[in-house]
Amino acid sequence: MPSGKRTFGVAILVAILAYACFFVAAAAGFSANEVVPAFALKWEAAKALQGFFGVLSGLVFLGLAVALGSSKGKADELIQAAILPMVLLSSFFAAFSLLVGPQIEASLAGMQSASSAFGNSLSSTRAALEAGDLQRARAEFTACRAISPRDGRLSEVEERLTAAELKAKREALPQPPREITPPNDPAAAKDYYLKALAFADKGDYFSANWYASTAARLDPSYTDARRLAAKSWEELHARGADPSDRVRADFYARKLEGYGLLSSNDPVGAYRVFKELADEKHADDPDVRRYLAESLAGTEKAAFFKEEADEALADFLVPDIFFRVPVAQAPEERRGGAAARTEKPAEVLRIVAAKDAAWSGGALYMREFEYLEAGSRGVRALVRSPFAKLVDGKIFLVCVERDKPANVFKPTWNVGPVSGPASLIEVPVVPEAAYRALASRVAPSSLPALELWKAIGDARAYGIDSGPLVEDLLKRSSVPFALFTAAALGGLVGSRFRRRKGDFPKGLYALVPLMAAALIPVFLVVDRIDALISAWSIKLLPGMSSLVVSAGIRTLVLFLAVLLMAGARDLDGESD
Amino acid sequence: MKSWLGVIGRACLEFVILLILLSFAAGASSSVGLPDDSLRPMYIYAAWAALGMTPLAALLTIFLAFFSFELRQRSRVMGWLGLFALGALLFSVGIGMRRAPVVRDVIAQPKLSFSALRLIPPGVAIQNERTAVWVGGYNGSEASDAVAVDFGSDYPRLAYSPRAPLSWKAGEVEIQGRSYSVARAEPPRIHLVPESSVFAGSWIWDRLSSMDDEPVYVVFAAAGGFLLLAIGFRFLCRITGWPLANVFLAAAGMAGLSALDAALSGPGPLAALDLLAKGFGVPLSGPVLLAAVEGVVGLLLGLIDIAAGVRAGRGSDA
Repeated sequence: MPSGKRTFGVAILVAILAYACFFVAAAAGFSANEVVPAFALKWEAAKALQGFFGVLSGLVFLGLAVALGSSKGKADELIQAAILPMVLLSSFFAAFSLLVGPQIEASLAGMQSASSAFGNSLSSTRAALEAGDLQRARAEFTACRAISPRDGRLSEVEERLTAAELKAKREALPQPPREITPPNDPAAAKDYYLKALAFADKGDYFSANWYASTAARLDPSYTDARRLAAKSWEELHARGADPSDRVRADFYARKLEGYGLLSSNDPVGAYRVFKELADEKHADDPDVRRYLAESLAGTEKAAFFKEEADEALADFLVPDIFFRVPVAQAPEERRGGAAARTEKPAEVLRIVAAKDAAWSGGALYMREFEYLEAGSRGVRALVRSPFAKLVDGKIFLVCVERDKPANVFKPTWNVGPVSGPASLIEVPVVPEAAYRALASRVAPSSLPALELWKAIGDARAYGIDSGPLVEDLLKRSSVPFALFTAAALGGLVGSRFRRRKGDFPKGLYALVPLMAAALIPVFLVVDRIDALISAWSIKLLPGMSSLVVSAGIRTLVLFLAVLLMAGARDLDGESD
Repeated sequence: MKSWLGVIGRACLEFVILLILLSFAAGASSSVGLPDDSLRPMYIYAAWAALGMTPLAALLTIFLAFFSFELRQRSRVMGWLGLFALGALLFSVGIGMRRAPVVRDVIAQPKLSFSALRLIPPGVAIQNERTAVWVGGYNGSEASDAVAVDFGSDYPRLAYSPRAPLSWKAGEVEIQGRSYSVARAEPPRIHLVPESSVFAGSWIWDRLSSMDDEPVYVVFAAAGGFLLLAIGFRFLCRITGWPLANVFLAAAGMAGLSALDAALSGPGPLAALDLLAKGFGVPLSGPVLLAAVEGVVGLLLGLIDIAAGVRAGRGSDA
């Protein structure tokens, strides 16, 4: 085989064997307690690639040393023939590592996060089952199933949960209807009464009865309203109403209630009413259909559904959310004119904190959310909400369960709001940039190089320390230098210490694993020297300028390695 | 003889280059965390490190000389003698430099000043373990707009104080009745070789550096024992028929014997050696006994290697 092709083949073979070893190690180290078994193969493959990328420069060195060390010929000829494979291999591995590496890191972090969420939810399901909180147990179980539907541990829990739910259903006693005490509001009662009168005049006794009854509830001393309610009910019966009229009246009343809520800008409440009506076999009613759709659209504008938050939060989670809302310049400030507001935006501190967050469909979902707004006069707004969604410069604070709209998670305002509705906060934040800055803080290595570059630019505005991000970028920038240097030195060592007498016995290749093991201490020392170069680059020129310093130092090292390789001919000539 | 001297001369040059590289690496490693951002502390630390790094540079030079002697000196006896002479010269230079009053007057041990407390910069949130802290600025004994979130605590977690009392000494701010650290964590130290605390004992270069107050014969004994052990492992450079594999295996052998020496220099093995010495009535201390054991093992390995060479009637196959 021509020397160049052989060099390439041997180096690739060494890399493949190393990956196989990493895969075996990952499979042996796999623990179902840490990672959900459904991810096993993907996890092992990714973990093996992570290990492979970690020692890539060592493998290139070893591969080329083995390839040239087992070749026949003169050192200068061998090196000349190996230059192209060296450059190709180094370029290929550098590109592969830089492009695939972040994806692997993101994939591993995602699987780890999902596995951790699965484990927590499974424990919570069991705890809730023990405590008899079946609703919570079901919610946690659903979260588990969303992550890994076929996990063996779920079947046992599901069996117990279903049995407990059936038992609870059997034992449940019919509950007396809840008496809701309406607020005493004579003015509203009068409005309702007048509407009732108008409907009665038109002969619409269903509507008249509902409005009059509502007026009587709002003002129990309103005898006219009570009288009209009784009269309209009698009229309904006098017109030959059968017992089903009561059901119809009730249905009608609930429709009106939902409509009233929708008209009074409470789409979430309206959605709850119309969803219940639709679920009670009234889905064919044209009014229910129309207003359900309208209230749903309204809910989507004022709130968000818990299901979408659950789905997002079951995936890759960024924990410990803390960032400052970037300061946006007001138009009058940009023009340089006098600020019309009492406090300039720059003087207002806005902090967002949350237990964790996840990115999905262009929105950032947060759990256990807190928002602080403080100015020169102290705290202007302080709100907490179990769930929040950041999208298009708005943080939505109200969360509704789509299938059980009665379950609404609302914000608690300790102070504020400063302006606008209590269900949302307007902030000058681009969700994608915020997520990028947050994710880079937790796992910078999972971001593609370009995203990381952008994140470093955004970090300061979000009050995030850019130091670790710059360190990660420096580490990545060192990959091509390390690979080219390793290739040059590998070629040099291989040609210098090749077997010169007789044919190369194939059995000697069995020593390659031992050689790889022997290389570990040297590799670790070199890795630390690389870290030292990065640390000194940052120390000498902090920020992005450190990239230039580190590139300069590494270029110098690479140049020395190439110089050494170029001198191999003389050395060989001397020794032969 | 010419090539024998040539190898030693070349090895001395390699020793100087290695010592410079190692000293700068050690100096850079020691001074990277210092608050002074200039290069001056690195030079000071490198100069000091040069005195301590001579045994490591000597060890690496001996490793390289293994192969030079293999290539240029067919006689194993001459090779062994060359390595011993080289090692003795380099270790003696190192010990002499360390003990020479002239050198000690010029190169003083730098004073460590890592304790200088640095606070987190205003406008940047820093997370220590699970607590994030952000401050708008520092004004005397107060931090303005201080926000803290302890993610390890129950929800709600956000604490805020427009003017939080600041303790510069402790590096803490008090927000809503609780103290939070605003001290910036020291960057992790980068050690080029694993800390010797991995073993109970210490690396040979650290051990020799810590023997400045010991009698000079003890230092030479420790260095001599180690040197004999190191050159006893010379057989590794021809252990297989593939010179490249021999390089890797010899490198691993050098790392291994350094680790073994560090492990044996721990208080446990030394105490056991002391006990043995007392038991046999030998009037030697633990470190000298250890050196003697290492020297004997090294000599034995060397003798076996030479005997094997005589029996085979050949030198190197490289």
